[in-house]
Amino acid sequence: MKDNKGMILEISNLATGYKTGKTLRQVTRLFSTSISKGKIISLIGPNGCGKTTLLKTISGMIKPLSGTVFYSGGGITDDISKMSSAELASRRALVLTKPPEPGMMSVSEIVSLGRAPHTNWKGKLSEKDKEAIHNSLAITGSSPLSERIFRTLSDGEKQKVMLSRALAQDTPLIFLDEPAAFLDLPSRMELAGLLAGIRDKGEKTLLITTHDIDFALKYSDIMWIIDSKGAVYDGLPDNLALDGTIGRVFSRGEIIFNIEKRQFEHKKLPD
Amino acid sequence: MTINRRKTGLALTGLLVLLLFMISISNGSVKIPLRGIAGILLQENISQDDAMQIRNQKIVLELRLPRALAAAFGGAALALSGLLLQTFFRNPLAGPDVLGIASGAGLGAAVTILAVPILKTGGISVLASSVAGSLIVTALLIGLVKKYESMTITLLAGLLTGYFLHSLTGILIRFSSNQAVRSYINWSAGSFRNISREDLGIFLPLLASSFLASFLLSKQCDLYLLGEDYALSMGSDTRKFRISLILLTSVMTGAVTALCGPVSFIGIAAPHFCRMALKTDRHSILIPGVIFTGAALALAADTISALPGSGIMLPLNSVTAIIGTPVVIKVLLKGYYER
Repeated sequence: MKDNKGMILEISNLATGYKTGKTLRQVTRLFSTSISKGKIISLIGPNGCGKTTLLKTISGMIKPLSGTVFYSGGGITDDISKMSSAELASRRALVLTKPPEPGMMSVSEIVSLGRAPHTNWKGKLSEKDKEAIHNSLAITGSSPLSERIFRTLSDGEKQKVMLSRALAQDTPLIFLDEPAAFLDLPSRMELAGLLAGIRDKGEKTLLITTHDIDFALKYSDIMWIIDSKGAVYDGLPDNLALDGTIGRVFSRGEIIFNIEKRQFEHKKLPD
Repeated sequence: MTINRRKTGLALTGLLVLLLFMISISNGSVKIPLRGIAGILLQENISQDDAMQIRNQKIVLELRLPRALAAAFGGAALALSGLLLQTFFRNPLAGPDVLGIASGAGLGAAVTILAVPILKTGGISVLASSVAGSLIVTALLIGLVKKYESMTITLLAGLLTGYFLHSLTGILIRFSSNQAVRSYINWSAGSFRNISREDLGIFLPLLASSFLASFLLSKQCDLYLLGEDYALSMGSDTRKFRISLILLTSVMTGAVTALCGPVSFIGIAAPHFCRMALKTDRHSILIPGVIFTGAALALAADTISALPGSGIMLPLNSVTAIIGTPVVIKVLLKGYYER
């Protein structure tokens, strides 16, 4: 434990990867940063660069190769490698790319599972739990769906419900692993708006891996870019666009990043 | 469906078990009226002069009550194993027999039955080797899922393991004495009627405590329906859960297989009957529900296999398979999920 005012997430000399037997495969290279409350951090990079590995390491789902991740709150800072799965669950929630397929569960049942870290062994809901479930359904506009069977929803609706469940978990940190990868454009924009709205309330910090560089430039406060060699660049989206980092990491062949327009284009437009 | 309607459904299933339990006891070569059975079970005074009443009391307490208890608890244990496996593998086709866990238990039991011809079928040694057999197969499957993250591969591996172990048992039989083979064949047809009273004294408490332990896991099971990553993110200790699940399903499947033989299809079919009836996936309702459903199925199958009034005994396994296969087909066609 150490004192660390205002910060919510601190990463110190973190390297991620996998250890299988004696072989070690490093995915991302040494990286340190600290993040305060009420931010959206977008984590971008080419396919297979290790976005998900970094996200899972920071969320405590897999162990780092080296370095430490700290969660802070209420004047206390904890090393996540020393926290149990139950303790972690009261500090961070997760939204994954693929919605689950939970048989006959209704939307409100799914969202109520988010209260798991706060309920007893049987999962009995208190009035406070019910209120949290009600509110988090309302935030994502999913209240009208609450009695529907989850598996009958569209992908966009499903991800909004999974976000409600993460909100019901009532954690200062929410990690989202490409939450919009399977969604159509309107659903994607709707989700982006919801995430920005949650950030704007100032209580929660969201870390989002994404392929959508437009979204990352438009909505995020901080951008982490992983290049194909696993180096992590940390900065303001504008700075990373202007200093050419985005262009360097993502451009290939005929496709280049236009700094003025903030978008990718063909080097020479075909006739 | 509201919570109250689910509870009513659960209570009705419980009543069904009670009814089938009484029918099972009243059936047999000697017909005993239901009223008489209630009197015997409730320990009413029976006049010592009435020879028929004394005989009935002996039949009920020494023969029929043990066999009905064995069927109810055995069926419930197989059904609960099936539910836990379906939840863990997130696959509606999982079950102790489909995944080869019952075959592991079977081989374990067969080794003991065949290797020790002096031993009667049943008993602690058969139970222990049977549990060991299912433990190995379950651990192997859960390891496979962890490594390959593919439920299809695991399901196929379980199926093939089942065939493999079955063949090993076949080879083992070639090298055994006639007496041992006879007792093995007797065992392998499956029956809730061969269990001795001493064995029942171990069987019932062992299963009852497994039921209780499973119920304590109901919240963890609910979380697991969203997948292992989501369960972990919501505070489930997934390692501990995996180990508990391996132990519980192995003990339950192993115990039933050792003492009642390989009883197929109850494990895979009962959870689906239960979900259809109670329309829920919450384990705090499903676990008691599936215990009742499994007990009801086993009692019904046992009563049917004795062909009331005919004196002929059908193989229990054929009866359970005839009840079970249509359910599995229905699951394949996913009929009831769509509603």
